Amino acid sequence: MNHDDNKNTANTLATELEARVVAWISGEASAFEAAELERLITDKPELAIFKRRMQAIQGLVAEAVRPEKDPLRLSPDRRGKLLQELGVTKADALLPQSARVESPIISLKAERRAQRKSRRWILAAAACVTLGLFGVMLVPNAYKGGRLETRMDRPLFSYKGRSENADYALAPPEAAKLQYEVKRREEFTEKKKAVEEAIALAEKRKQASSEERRELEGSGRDQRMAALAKMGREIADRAVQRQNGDDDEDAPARRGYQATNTLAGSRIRTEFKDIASAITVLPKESAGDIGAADKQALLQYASNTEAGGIQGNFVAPAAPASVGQLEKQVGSYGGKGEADKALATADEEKLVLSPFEVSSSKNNGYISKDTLAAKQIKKSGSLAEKAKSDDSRLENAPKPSQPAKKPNSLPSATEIITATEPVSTFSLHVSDVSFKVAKEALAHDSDLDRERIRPEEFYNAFNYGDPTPALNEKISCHIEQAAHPLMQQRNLVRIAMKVAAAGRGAGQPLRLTVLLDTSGSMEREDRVAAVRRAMQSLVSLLGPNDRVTLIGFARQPRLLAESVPGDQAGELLNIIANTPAEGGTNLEEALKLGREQAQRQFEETAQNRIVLLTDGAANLGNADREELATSIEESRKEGIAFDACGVGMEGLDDAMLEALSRKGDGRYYVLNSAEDADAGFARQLAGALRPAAKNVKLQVRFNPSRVRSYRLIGFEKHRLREEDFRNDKVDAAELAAEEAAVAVYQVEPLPQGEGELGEVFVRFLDPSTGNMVERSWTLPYEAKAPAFDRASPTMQLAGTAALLAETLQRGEKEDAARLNELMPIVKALPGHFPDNDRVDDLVTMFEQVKKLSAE
Amino acid sequence: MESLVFENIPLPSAGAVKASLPESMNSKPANIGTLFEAEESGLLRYAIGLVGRRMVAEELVQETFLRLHKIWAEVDNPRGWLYRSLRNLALNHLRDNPKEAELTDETAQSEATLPAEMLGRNEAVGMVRLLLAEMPESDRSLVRLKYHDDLQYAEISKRTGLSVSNVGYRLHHVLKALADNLRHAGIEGSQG
Repeated sequence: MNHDDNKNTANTLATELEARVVAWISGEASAFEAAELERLITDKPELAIFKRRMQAIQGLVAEAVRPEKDPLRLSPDRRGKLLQELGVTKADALLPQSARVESPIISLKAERRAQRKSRRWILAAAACVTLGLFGVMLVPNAYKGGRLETRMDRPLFSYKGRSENADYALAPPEAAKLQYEVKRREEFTEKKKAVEEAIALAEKRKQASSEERRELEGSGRDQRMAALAKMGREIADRAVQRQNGDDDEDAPARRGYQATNTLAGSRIRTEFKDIASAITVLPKESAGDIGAADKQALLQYASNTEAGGIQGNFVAPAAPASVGQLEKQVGSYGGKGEADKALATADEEKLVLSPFEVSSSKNNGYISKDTLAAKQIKKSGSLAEKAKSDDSRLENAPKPSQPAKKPNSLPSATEIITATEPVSTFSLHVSDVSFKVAKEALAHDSDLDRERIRPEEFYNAFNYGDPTPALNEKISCHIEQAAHPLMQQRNLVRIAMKVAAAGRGAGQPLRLTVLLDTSGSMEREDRVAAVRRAMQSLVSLLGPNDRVTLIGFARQPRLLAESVPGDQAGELLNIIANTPAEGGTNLEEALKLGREQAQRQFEETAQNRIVLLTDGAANLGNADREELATSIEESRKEGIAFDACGVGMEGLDDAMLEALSRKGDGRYYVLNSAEDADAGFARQLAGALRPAAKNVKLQVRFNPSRVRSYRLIGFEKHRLREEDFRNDKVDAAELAAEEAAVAVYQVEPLPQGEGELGEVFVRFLDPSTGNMVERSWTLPYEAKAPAFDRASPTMQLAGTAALLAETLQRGEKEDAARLNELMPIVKALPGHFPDNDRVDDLVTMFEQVKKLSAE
Repeated sequence: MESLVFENIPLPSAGAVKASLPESMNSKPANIGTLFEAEESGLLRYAIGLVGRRMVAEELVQETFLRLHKIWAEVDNPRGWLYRSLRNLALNHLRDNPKEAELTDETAQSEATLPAEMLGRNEAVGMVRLLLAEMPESDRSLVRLKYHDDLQYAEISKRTGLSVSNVGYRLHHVLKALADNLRHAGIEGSQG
């Protein structure tokens, strides 16, 4: 709308023509001009359309600009009030009160508050008077729960005060119930007078309001009356407050009484939303029976659970994770001493258990040493032991045991509620390193670092044989699902993406910079062999248009060969063979030189990559993962990708290499032996060197009416935000031609829901065209998703691999025990995937886990 | 909130040319009361065009004025603000009350239910007013001279000092922009 718009000069001709038309319809055109334009119009229909549009607009503008010949006015009443408003000096008067009558859209809350305020003053006055009276009466009746007295009257009044809202009326049943309640209180004091007064007040304040609202309040109040009859004062009051929409204005003052002796007053220091439930203890077995994997599931299925928060009989400790650590979440009973200790640590813990809400304020309730409840469940051990504990063990209740590995660092196994967050976005990064590392660790019975387990690298270690798309399709998607073998109401969904095969002439020239670790540890024969094989594979993939720079590094980096053409790269092998391996490992310097060289031979149209081959951790120079990763990121922004190849498993700095290759948009391989550097590796390498899809991101949008909750298994380090999906500046993984990538979700479908599970979107850069490609597929809802043991072999493979990874991640023996249930399925897999080493490896790993868990 | 004392004195006209103009064309009237007098009808029509119901329209207009009143001092272009704000309130209302039956409230009898075309036109005209109010003053004065005063290009050129062809070019520009903006707002043609 701005004259300063720079109109496209290419369109000046058209613009000029349009201007003429506008002038014409404005009556500016001469007869000659008019005739000419008429002619032009018949020639160009679009001009005719334009003319009509302009005429329409003119009409509108004319009407807009002209003064109203028949002005509309607001209804007189409203108008008068409004004018009054606008003319009034004080801004306060703008409160909707005066306009309330005619404007339903203006909030009633403020008005309600105002009225409530005035009510409360009157009540307060009445309360004061009666308080005075009762103070006198009550003094002789004071007893141990001293606080009881001074509060007893006030809550009653305030409660009524709440109910005195102008908009609600106390229906007669309420009044009657109120009287019942009052009678109960007469056991303590004689307040009949006060009550009657209050009721009278209530009746005075009756006002007509909508029928529904009264009923609503009425029914709400019924429940609360029942509560009153049973529970302590305070809880009921608070419940009423909530219902009435009050915002705890008096909450701090209205603590109600806090008995230290009765069970009722202390054990439950919560807001009860469902008071009628009895309270029971939930041992570990039930968690297993229900198949609950986290506390949400647990409490859903269990109708009664004991919840007392810190001040109750519970001690609620820190981070939740999984079934295995369920007892830690749900808390454990303990004697006073331990409870205090745990209190200190879990102070700010807020345990949210449906249907109760427990607030963990330092409300030292009753923590018993003496009841059976406290004794039955030891704080430390697993819940499985707890149910079987006997008295003798209890005498020496052990101290709370801390998990060997920090639970906080593990990914959360909580499901995401679809209604809250229906979108799941991540970078489709595939690798298999974690699987191999775990395989080795299990084989040698060595320590498995749980934080290094990446479930996506487990189930992506396999070739599922999904169909390859046609070349013009670029990417295809294959989706299947089955019921979760170990959890109720959950399905596992396997989403597989596959990239099309490379077309002819898809090869870009390569500019490789190879950083070879020549530190002392690389002297080992097996490592030497592995490196040799790897380099052979690499060299075999190079052509005359490619260039390789070789840098050896130990304490210092050394440029061994610069920009050698691919067809002469065989020499590199000789150079490597003749380079002695000695010294420490200074990764920082190596990366620096690597970057320089890569930049030196950088070429826009080529694949520019740095490939790092190393066996171990950097022990010289800067070894800070983050900083090194940042420098890698800088390179990536310049267009240089970064691959890492770990040689040997021992001492491998998996975390470092994973981080670097992730930041560098490159691959991460691990070669344990020369055999690993086989044809498969060569293929991977080849594919990686010429990615067919870059910045590959996956986004799944779940349908909240069909999916209650979901969980992406794995890809923890690759999660993205929803908006990153279409933000092409946000980098993501690469996929090679014919490469497949799988994602496994655990979903909780709603059989009564509507629609499909959701939609899958994939978005990536096609290097051959330089364009972004985005495709989507439906994630269908299968009402009769097959049971796991009847699912397709590929589904079973992915599922078992994923579950194995998760079990290893959690590191709980109970999980391992459950995993055994999958054994028959796993054992049958090699039959479906003949001659597949990886599948055989998986079976072996399962067996090893079984052995370990039996110990 | 500052306290403002409003006097119900209309703004003295600044010059001969402007003397004939409706108050609303100036950038900011002295007080909201004047603005109200000038814009009440137009806004009401617009609101009716948007929501279709007189009662609701009146509430919306009322609410809009009240809101403007609160932030009067901060608003540069109150006319544009009014239309924008009214539009937003109306859209919010429509979004929150999608299934309101047309004829349930008592005001249905108080006026003939406006035919759809009328509503559409009201909405379109209101939108145009909104856009006009948000235009730069130079454009607005051109529009005013052309469509309110019904002047020929030559006359306009004389008054504004622009060349005739420039006048033509600019008017064409303005109309085109208005048309495009209306289309973006979902209003096609003149019938809404």
